[in-house]
Amino acid sequence: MATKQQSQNAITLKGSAKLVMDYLNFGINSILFQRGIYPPESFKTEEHFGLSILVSTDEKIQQFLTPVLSQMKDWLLEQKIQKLSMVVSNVTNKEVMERWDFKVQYEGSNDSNPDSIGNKELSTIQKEIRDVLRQICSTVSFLPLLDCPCAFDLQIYTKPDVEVPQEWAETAPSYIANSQELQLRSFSTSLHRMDTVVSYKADF
Amino acid sequence: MNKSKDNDQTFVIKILDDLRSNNRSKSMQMHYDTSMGLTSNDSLLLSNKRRRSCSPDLQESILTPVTSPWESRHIKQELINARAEIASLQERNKNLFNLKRESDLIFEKEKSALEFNVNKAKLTIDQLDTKLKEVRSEKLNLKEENDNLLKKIESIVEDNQHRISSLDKENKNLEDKLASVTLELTKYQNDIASRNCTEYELNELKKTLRSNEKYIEELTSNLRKKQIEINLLENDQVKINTANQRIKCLENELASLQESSMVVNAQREKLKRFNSMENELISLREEVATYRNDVKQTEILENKVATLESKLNKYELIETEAMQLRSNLAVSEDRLKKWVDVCLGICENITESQCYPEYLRYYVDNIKKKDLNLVNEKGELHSSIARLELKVGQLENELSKAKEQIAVATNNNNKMEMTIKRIKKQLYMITWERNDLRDLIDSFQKEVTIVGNMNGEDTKMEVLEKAISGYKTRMTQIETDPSLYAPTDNDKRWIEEKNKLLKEKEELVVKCKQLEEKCIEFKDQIDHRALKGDFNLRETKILHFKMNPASEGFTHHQNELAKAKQEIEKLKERIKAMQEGISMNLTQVVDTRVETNSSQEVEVLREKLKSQEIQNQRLREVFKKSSQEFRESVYTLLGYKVDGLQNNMYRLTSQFAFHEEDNLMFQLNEGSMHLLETSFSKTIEEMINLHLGQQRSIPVLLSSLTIDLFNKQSMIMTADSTRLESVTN
Repeated sequence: MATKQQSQNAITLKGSAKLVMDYLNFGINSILFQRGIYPPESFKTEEHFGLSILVSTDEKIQQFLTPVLSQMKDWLLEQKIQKLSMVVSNVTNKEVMERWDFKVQYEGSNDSNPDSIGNKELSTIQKEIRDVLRQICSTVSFLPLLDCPCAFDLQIYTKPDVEVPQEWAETAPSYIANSQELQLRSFSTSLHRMDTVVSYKADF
Repeated sequence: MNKSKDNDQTFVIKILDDLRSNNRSKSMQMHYDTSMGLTSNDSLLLSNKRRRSCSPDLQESILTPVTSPWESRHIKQELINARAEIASLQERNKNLFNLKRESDLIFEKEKSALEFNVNKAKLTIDQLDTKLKEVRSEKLNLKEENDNLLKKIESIVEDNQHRISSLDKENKNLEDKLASVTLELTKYQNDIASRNCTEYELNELKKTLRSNEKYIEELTSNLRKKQIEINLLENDQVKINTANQRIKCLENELASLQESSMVVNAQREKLKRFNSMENELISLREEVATYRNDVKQTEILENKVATLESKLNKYELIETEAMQLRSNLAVSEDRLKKWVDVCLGICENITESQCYPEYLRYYVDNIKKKDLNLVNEKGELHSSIARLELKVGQLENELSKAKEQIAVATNNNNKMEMTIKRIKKQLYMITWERNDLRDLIDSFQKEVTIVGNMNGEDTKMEVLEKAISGYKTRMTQIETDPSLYAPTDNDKRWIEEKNKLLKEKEELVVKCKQLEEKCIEFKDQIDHRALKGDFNLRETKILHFKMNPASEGFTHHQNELAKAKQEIEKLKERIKAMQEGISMNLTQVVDTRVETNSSQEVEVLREKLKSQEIQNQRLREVFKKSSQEFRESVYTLLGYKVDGLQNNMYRLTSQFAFHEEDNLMFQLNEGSMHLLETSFSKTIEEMINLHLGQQRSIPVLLSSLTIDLFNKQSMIMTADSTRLESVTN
C-alpha cells in the first residue's frame, strides 16, 4: 500500500522533462498569440493544465517547434541545457524587441540518473505551471506594443560539450539595448526548476 | 430649456450631495428635524406618483438639510417650476390624447361615410347595369328589324334582276327570229335566181349569156342594192330591236316604276313610321348618351372607389402601423421606465427628470474611465509588486546572510564572554588564594613570633606546609595550563602577542565583512546581468535551429525588399520611357534597360572597382617596395645608383663619385643604350673612347669607371691616412 502511494506521488525524470516541454510549448504558443506575432485567426483554443490555451495552427510553426522541443527534451534529460531564450525580433532591421528567458535549474541528485524520482505531486506542479502561464498571459497589459512585423527564434544555451545536430547551428546571443526585465513566477517539478524572465525594450 | 433646468437641478443636487457627504454622519438627523418645518409644505405638495417614483436618496436630497435659506428658496422655486412643468406636460399629454381620440373619431366617421358612398355607388352601378342591359336588348331588336328590312330590299332587287334576265332572254329569241327571217329571205333570192336561169337557158343560152351576164351584173348590182337594202333593213331591224328594247326598257321602267311606286308607297308608309322611329332613335340616342354619361360616371366612380379602396388599405396599414407603434410605444415606455429605474438604481443622487441617456452615458463613460484608470493602476501595481517581490527576495537573502553573520558573531561573542568569565573566575580564585596565603603567612609569622618553637604546632605546620605545597602545585598547574591563562600574567610577551592577534583578528573580521559585502554586490551584479541576458561565455554554447522563423522572416523580407527595389527600378524606367514617348513594346524596352543599367550591377561593379583600386594601391606599394629593394641591391652590388627619368633616360651615379653631379646619362633608343653628354662625361672622354668607341661595351666602361673612382677615392683615403700617420709620427 505504501509503495503504491509513493508511486502515485512520484514523478519520473522523463515525466518532469515532458512537463517542462509542455510548459515551454504552451508558453511559447501563448506568447506568440498574446504578443500578436502571428495573426490571431491562426490560433485555436486547447484545454491544458485546466486552462484554455491558444495554440498555433500554422504548420510552419509546428514544424519548427516540434523538432526543437524534442531535441531540447533529450538535452534536458542529459542536463545539458542552461536556458532557452525566445527572441522576438523586428524583421526589417533584425532589432531584438523582446526576449523570454526560460532558465532551467536541475534539482534533486546532480547526476543525470534516468531513474531519479521526484517527490512533488502532479496536481501542485500543474497548478504552479498554470499560474506561470496565467502570468504570461497577463504580461500583455504592460509590455510595449509590437508595432512592426516580428519573427521569433529559439536560442538554447547549452553546455559546451553538447553535440550539435545537423540542422542546428551556433548563434550569437541577442541582447536588448535599454532593456527592462521582469521575473515571472517559477515552478518546480522537484527535478527541474523553471524560472521565466521577460526582457523588453523599455520605452523612453 | 428643460435640459438646462435639469442641469441646474443636478448642479444644485450635486452641491447638496457634497454638503451632505461632508456632514451626513454628523448632523443629518438633527437637520432633518429642523428642515422638516421648511420643507414640510413642499413634501406635502409633492404628488403621490412623484413620491413613489423618487428614490429614498432623492427624498433625502429634497428633505436634506439646507444650510442657507437662499438655497431652500431656490430649491423651492425650482420645485415649483418643475411641478408647473410636469402639470403642463401632463396637460399637453392629455391634449395630445384628446387630439388623437378626435382624429380617430374623424377617421372612423370618414371611413363610414366612405363606406356609405361606396355602397351608394355600388347601387347606382347595379341600376346602370340593368339599364345598360335593357338598352342593349332594344338595340338588338332594332338591329333585327333593320336586318329584316335589308333582306326585303335584297329580295326585291333579286326579283328585278330575274325580270331583267327574262327580258334579255326574250330579246335573244327575237334576234334569233330575225336571223331566221333573213335566212328565208336569202333562200327566196336563190329561188328567184334559179327560176331566171331555167327560163333563159333554154332559149337564149348564148345570146342571153351576155345579157345574162349583164343581168347578172345588174343583178349583182341589184343584189348590192338589195344587200344595201338588206343592210338598211337590218339597220331598221336593229332600230326595231332597239325600239323593242326601248319598249321593253320602258315597260321595265314602267314595271319598275310601278314597283318603285309600290316601294315608294311602302317607303311612304315607312317614312310615316320613320318620324316616329327617328324620334325613338333620338330618344334612344339621348338615352344612350345618358347611359354613356352614366357609364363614364360609373367608371369615374369605380376609379374613385378603387382609389378609396387603396386609400382604405393605406389607412388600414396606417392603422396597423399605428397599433404597432402604440404597442412599441408601450414597450419602449416600459423599457424607458426600466432604464430609468436602472439609472436611478445605478446613479445615485438623481431625479427622474435627469435620467437621460446622456447622463447614463456620461456616467458609464466615467465608470469606464475609472475602470481604465483602475486597470492601469492595477498593471502598475502588478509591475511594482513584481519589482517589490524581487527586492524582497534580495532583501531576504541579505537578511539571512546577515543573520548568519550575527549568529557567528554572537557565537564568537559568547565564546569570548565564556573565556572572559573563566579568566575572571581564575583571577578571582588566584587573588583569593594569594590573600589567603598572605593571611596564612602573616598568621604563621605571628604564631612563630608569639609561640616560638612549639612541638604541638609542628603537625599543624606540616599540614599547612602541605597545603602550601598543594597550593604551589596548583599554581604551577594553573600557570602551565594555557586555558587558564590569566591576563594578570606578568608575561608581557604573551599579552603583546595576544593583542596583536586580536588586532589581526579584528582586521580579518573587517576584511571578511568587506569581502562579504563585495560578494553580495557581485552576486547582485551577476543576478542583474543574468536578468539582462548575460551568461558565462566559456561554459555555454548557444544553439538554434537553422530553419527558424526569424531567419526565414529575414530572408523573406530581404527577398521582398529586393523584389520591390527591382520593381521600383522597372517602374522608374517605365516612367522614363513613357516620358521619352516610347509606347511600343514598353515592357520589353524597360526590361532591356533594367538589365543593362540595373543599379545592382552598378553597385557590384563599383565594389569591384573599389577592390581593384585597393589591389592596385597594394600592388603599387609592393612594387615601390620591391623596386626600392631592387635599386638598393643594384646599388650595393654594382656600385651605381640608377634613376629612371623621362624619355627613357637613365641617370647613373657611382657609389664612389666625389660629387652628386658626377653622373652619366643614358638614353634607351630602339633597344640600344646611348651615352649622353654631361659635365662629368667630358672629364672621362678617354675612357669613353676606349670602352665605347673601341670595345663597344657599356658595362666595361662602367666597371672601369668604378675601379677608377674607387682607386682615386681609396688613394685619397690612403693619402689622408698616411698624412695622418705622418702627423702622428
